[in-house]
Amino acid sequence: MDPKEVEIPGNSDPNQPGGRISHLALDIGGSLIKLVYFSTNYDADDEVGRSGKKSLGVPNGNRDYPVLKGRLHFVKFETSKINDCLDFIQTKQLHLGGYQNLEAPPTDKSIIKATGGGAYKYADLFKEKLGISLDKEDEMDCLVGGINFLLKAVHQEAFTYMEGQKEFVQIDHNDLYPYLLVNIGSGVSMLKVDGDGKFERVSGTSVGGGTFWGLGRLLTNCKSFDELLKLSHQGNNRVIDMLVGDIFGGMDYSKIGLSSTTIASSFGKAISDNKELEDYRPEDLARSLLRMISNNIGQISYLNALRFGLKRIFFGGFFIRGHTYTMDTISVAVHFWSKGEAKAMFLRHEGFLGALGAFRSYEKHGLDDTMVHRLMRPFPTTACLAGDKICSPPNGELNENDSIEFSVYAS
Amino acid sequence: MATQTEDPVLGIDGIKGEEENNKPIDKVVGLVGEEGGQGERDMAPSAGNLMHRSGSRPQLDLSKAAIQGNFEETNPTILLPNQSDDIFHLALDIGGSLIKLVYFSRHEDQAINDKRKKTVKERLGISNGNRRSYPILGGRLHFVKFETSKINDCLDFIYSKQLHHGGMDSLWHSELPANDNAVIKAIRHEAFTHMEGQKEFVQIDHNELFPYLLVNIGSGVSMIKVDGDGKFQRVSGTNVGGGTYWGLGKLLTKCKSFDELLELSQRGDNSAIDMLVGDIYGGMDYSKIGLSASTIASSFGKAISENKELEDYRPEDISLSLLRMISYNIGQISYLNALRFGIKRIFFGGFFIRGHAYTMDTISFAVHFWSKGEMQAMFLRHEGFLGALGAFMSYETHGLDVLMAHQLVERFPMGAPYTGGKIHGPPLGDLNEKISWMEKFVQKGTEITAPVPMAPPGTTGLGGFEVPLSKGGILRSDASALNVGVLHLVPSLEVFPLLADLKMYEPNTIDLSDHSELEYWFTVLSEHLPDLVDKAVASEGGTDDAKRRGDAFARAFSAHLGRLLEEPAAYGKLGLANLLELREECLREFQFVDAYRSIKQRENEASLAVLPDLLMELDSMSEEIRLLTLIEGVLAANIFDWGARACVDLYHKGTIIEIYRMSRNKMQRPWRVDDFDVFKERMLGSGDKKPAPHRKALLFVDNAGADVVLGMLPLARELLRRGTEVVLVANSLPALNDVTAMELPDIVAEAAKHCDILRRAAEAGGLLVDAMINNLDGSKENSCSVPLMVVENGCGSPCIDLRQVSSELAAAAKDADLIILEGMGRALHTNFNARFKCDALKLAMVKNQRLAEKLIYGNIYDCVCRYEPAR
Repeated sequence: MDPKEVEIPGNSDPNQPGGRISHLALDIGGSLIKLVYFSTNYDADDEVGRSGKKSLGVPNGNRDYPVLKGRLHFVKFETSKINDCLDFIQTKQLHLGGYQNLEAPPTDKSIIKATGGGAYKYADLFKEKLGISLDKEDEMDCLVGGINFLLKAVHQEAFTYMEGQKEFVQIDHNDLYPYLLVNIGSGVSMLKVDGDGKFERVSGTSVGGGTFWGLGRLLTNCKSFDELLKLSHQGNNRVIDMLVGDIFGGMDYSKIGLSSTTIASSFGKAISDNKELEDYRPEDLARSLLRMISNNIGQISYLNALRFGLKRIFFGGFFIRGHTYTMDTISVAVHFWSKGEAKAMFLRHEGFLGALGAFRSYEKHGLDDTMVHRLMRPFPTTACLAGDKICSPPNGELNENDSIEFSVYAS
Repeated sequence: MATQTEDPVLGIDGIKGEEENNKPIDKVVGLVGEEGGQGERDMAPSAGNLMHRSGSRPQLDLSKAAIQGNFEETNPTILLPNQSDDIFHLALDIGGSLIKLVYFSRHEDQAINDKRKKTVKERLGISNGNRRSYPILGGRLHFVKFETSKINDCLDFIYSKQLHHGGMDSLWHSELPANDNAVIKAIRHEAFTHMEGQKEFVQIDHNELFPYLLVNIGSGVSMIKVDGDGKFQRVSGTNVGGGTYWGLGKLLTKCKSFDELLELSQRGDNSAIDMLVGDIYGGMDYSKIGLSASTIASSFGKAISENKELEDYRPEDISLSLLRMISYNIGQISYLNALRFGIKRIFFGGFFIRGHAYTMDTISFAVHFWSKGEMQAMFLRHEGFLGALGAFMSYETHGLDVLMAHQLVERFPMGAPYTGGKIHGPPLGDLNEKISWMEKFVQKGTEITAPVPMAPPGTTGLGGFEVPLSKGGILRSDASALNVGVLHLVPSLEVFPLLADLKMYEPNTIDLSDHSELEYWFTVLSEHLPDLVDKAVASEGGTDDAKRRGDAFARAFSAHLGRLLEEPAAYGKLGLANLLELREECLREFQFVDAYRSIKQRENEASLAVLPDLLMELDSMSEEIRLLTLIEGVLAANIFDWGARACVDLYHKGTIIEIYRMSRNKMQRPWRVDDFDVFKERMLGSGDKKPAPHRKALLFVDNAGADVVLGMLPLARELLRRGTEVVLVANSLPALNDVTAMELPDIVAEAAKHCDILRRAAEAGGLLVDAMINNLDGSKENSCSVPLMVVENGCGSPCIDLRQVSSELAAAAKDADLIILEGMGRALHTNFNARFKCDALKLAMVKNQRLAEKLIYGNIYDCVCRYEPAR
C-alpha cells in the first residue's frame, strides 16, 4: 500500500497551521472535559518516546511496511471552565484538523467527535465559538471502545494496586472478556463487557466522583477536586467515622471478621460530638468522605461482578485519576467483600476512556480507516507510554499533559 | 459489679454502632429488693463474659401442670401448681434513649365450672385444647416503651405490675433474627410494604418465609441472611447508614436531631444539589440505558459546578439529597445481596426506618427500581421491639418459640390512639385510673390527639445505635408510626380445618382500604355509638359509675376511630371485622361484660314462648315445603339484629313476634341470591333418589332471640331428625345481641321441654344438665338420637376470622360435612367469599342498603341463600 495513504490528513493539508494536528475527540462530562488529540510531530520531550522505543527494542527497520509516528495527547478541563477549553482548542487550532478537510474546503464547518452528556448540552456553544459541530457518539460505546483499545494496544495499561504496591497485569487478549468496567465520573456506571462493542450497562450508582467533590466542597470549602484529594492525604478518618473499635473498646469484632479499624458508620461520630462543622479539620473530613465513597463503589462493583460471575473489575474515570488512596480503598473493598477472589484493576489512562472511544469512532465513518485500524492492532510493542505522568491538573497546559507515542503501520 | 439505679442504663453503653448487635453481650439483670422500686443491677462485665450466657435465668416449674377450666376467656390457663403464683416473664432492651419492655402476663383466673365445656371436651377428645405435647401458658405479650431518661417511670411500672417477681432478662440482640422470625410468623399483619405513602400488609406463608434478608439500618447497616430459626449469617453491610445521614446532615444543616433532619427533607428539592441525568444531557433522558432525565446521576454533583457555598443551599434540599443518596444506596446494596442468594424478600429495620414514612418510601423505591419490581422492601410493625423480643425469646422454657399466628390475637388498649402506641405513660392499674386518663385526654382536647412528644428512637436490632437525647421534646408530625398492641396468646386457637385454601383466605369481604368505604363504616359505627352506650349503661344498672364508664368507653372508641381514620394501617390491616371486634374489646376494657344481656334474655323468652306453635306448624308440612319454610324462617328471623340500624328502628315499632311474622310473610322467592333448589336437591334429592343425610353439620348462629330460637333451632331440629349430628357454634364472648356459647345450653334446654327430637339430641350431646347427671353412668350408645352439641367459636366479635377459632370448634369440625353460616357478620361481612372443603350454606338478610348494593346489587332486606357444594 502506498505510504501516502496512511499519512495523517492534517499533516497533508498545507492550509492547516502547524500542520501537525490530526484528530481531536472530546468527552464532555458533568465535571470534566477530556480531550484526546493526535499529533504527528514530536515535541520537546521527544526523548521519552525514543528511549521508550529503544528499551523495548522495536526498531522500525524490521517491519515490512511504513510507519507513521505520532502522539496521542490527553488534556482535561473542568466543565465549569469550558471557556478555557474552547480557548485551548482555538489556540492549538485543534478544531481545524480532522478528516473532513480531505473532502471539504477548510473554511467549512468542522465536525468533531464528542461524547458525554455535555456533547448535547454544549453543542451550541461549540458551534458558536469555534464553528465546529459536535458529532455525538454514545457515551457507553465510547467508554468500552476506549478501554478495549487501551487493553489491547497499550502495554502495561492495567495494574492492581494493593497497599501502595502497583503491579502491572499482562492480560491475555483471548481471556479478556467478560469483565466489569466501572467508570467513576460524576456518577458511576457499571458495564459488563462481553466483547468489542458488546456490552451492557448492568448497574451504577449516583455516589461517585461528583459526590466526593460536591460534598467535599460543602464540607471543606476546597476550591478544586485536586485540592480536596490532596487534603484527604493528610487526614485521619477516625476523627469522624465510627469504627468498629469505637464500639467494642478497641477490640476486633472477630466473630464476623471485622477488625477494629473497620468503619462501622461513615461520619457516625459527627452525631455524638457536640461539634460543629468548623470544629473538624478539613483534612479529616476529606479523608472520611473519600473512604466512604471509594468503599461504597468497591462494594457495589464487587456485588455486580459476583452477580455475573466476573473475575476482573476495571475501574476508570476521573475519580481514580491515579490517586493512590482511592485505588487503595477500592482495592481493599473489592478484596474484602470478595474474600480475595476478585481484584480491582486500574488503567493508566483512566478518565480518558470516553474521549479515546470517541477518537476511535472516526473509524466507523470510513475515514482514516487504516490508521485507526492499525492503532487497534494488538501490537503491544508498537506503543508505549511517554512517561509516568498520567495525572494532570485540569489547567490545560500542554506540557503537563500525558501523551502516548504511536507507531502507525500501514499494510 | 453493681451500679447505682440512677444510671444503670446509660452506664451500659454509650454509642452503639452497626456491629454491636451481633454481639451477644449477655447481661442478666435481676431486679431484687422492693424498696420503692429500687433495685440493684448485676451486670456481667462486658469484656470477659461476652459469649457466656448466664444459667441463672428463672424457669417455669412445669411439674404437675394441668389445664384449668377457664370458660369466660377463650384460652384455658395451664395451672402450674408448683410455680409461684404471679409468674411473669420480662425482657428489657435498654437503649440510650428508649427502654423497651416485653413482658408476658398470665390471664386472671376465672374458674367457672362449666359442665358443657367439660362434656364437649370429653366428646371431642380434646385433652389440653392443643395438639402440642407440652403445656404452654396462655396469656398476654405486652410491648411497652419508656424514655430512658424517665427510667424511674419504668421501674415504677415494673414494680406496680410485679414483673420482677418472675423472670427478668436483658440481652443484647444475639438472637435478633430468631425473634424476627417469631414476629413475622406469629403476628398477623406484621409485615408491610410501603410505596408512595401507601402501606400494604403482606401475609407471609410460614413455609415460604425463608430465606429472607434482614437489613438493619442503625448507624451503619448490617445485612443478615436468615435461613431458619436460629440459622442466620451476616452476609454484608455498609458503613453508609443512618449515622452517615445524621452525621453528615448535622454537619451540613446544623439540625439538632435526627427527626428534625428528616422533617426538613420533606420540604426539600434535591434537584438543587444533585446532578440529574437531565442536567448532563441538557434536559433529555438517556433513554438508551433507560435513565430518565430526573434520575440522579451524581448525588451532590451540582455542588461542584456552581459558585455557591454551603450557606447558599437550603438545608431542606441538602437533607433530601442526603436522604435519597443513602436510602438508594442501601436499597441497592440490599437488592444486590438478595439477588446473590436468590432471596425475594427484604425486611428493613433499625432506627433509620422506624415508622418513618419518608425513609420507608425511598428505600422501597430503590429496591423497586433496582430489581425492576421483582423484589419488595418490607417493614415490620413490631420492628422497634425486636431486641427486647429477642431477649424474651431466649427464655427456653415458656414454649413461645413455636408461636403460631392463629394463637395470637392483637388488642389495642384505650391509650393507643393518643400515644400512638409509642411511649407508655404511668402504669394504668385499675379501671378507675383508665377512666380518669380518658377524662384527662378529653380535657386536653386536640392538643393530646397530636402524637406525644418523643425522643429520637434508640437502640434496636443489629444496627443498634444509640442516639443522644435531644433537648426538649420534638413533636413528631409523622403520623405514619404504627401502633403496637398487646398480643394475647391464646394457645387454644387453631385454624378452622375445613377452609379450602388457607393461603387465599381473607375473612373481610369489604376492603376498607377504599377510603370512602372506610368513612362510611366509621359513620355507621359513630352513629350507632350513643345507642350502644345507652344499652351498655343500662345493662350495668344505669348507675353513676356505669355512666362514667360509658362516657369513657365512648371517648376511647371514638379515639380509636379517629386514629384509624387518620392512619388506617395503624393497627395492622384494617377490615370491618377488626373494627367491630375493636368495639367489643373496648366495651370489655371498661368492664361492660354484656351490654345486651337483658335484651337478649327478654327476646329469648318471647321467642321460646311461640316456638312450640311454630314447631307444630312445621310438623304438619310435607318434607319439601318444610325445608323451604325452615330456610325462610332463618332468613326472616335474621332481621333481629341490634347491630343494624334499620332493625333498631323496627324494634321500636312492634313486638318481636309481629316483626317475625311480617318478615316471614315478605319472604318471596327468588331471593337476591338463591341457591335453594340446589341445596334442596342435596338434602332431599330428586325423583326416587334419596341422598344420604349429612353426617355432621356445624351451624354458626348469630343473634339471640327469634334469630336463634325461631330460625336456627328449628333448622337444627330438622337436621337432627334426618340423622345429622348438629353442632351449634356460638360466640365465646358477647358481641352485641349475638347469642353466646354460654347461653345456648339454657335456650336448648328450654326448647327441649316441648320437643322430643331436641331433648333426645341435647341429652345425647350432654347439653341437658339434669339428664347428664341421670345418665352419668349411662353410655352414649344407649342414646337413640344423634347428638346436638354447642361449641364456642373462640371469638367475641359479630364477625368471625376462621383462621383463629377455638380448638373445640376445630376438633368438632373434623368430621363435619355441612357448614351453615348465618347472619351478616359471619356470612356477609366476613366469609362471604370463603370456600370450604365441605358443603356450605350461607344465609343472611341484608340489613344495610350500602352493603346490599355493593355485595349483591340488591336492596336492604334482600336475602342471601348461597349454597356451595364441597370442593
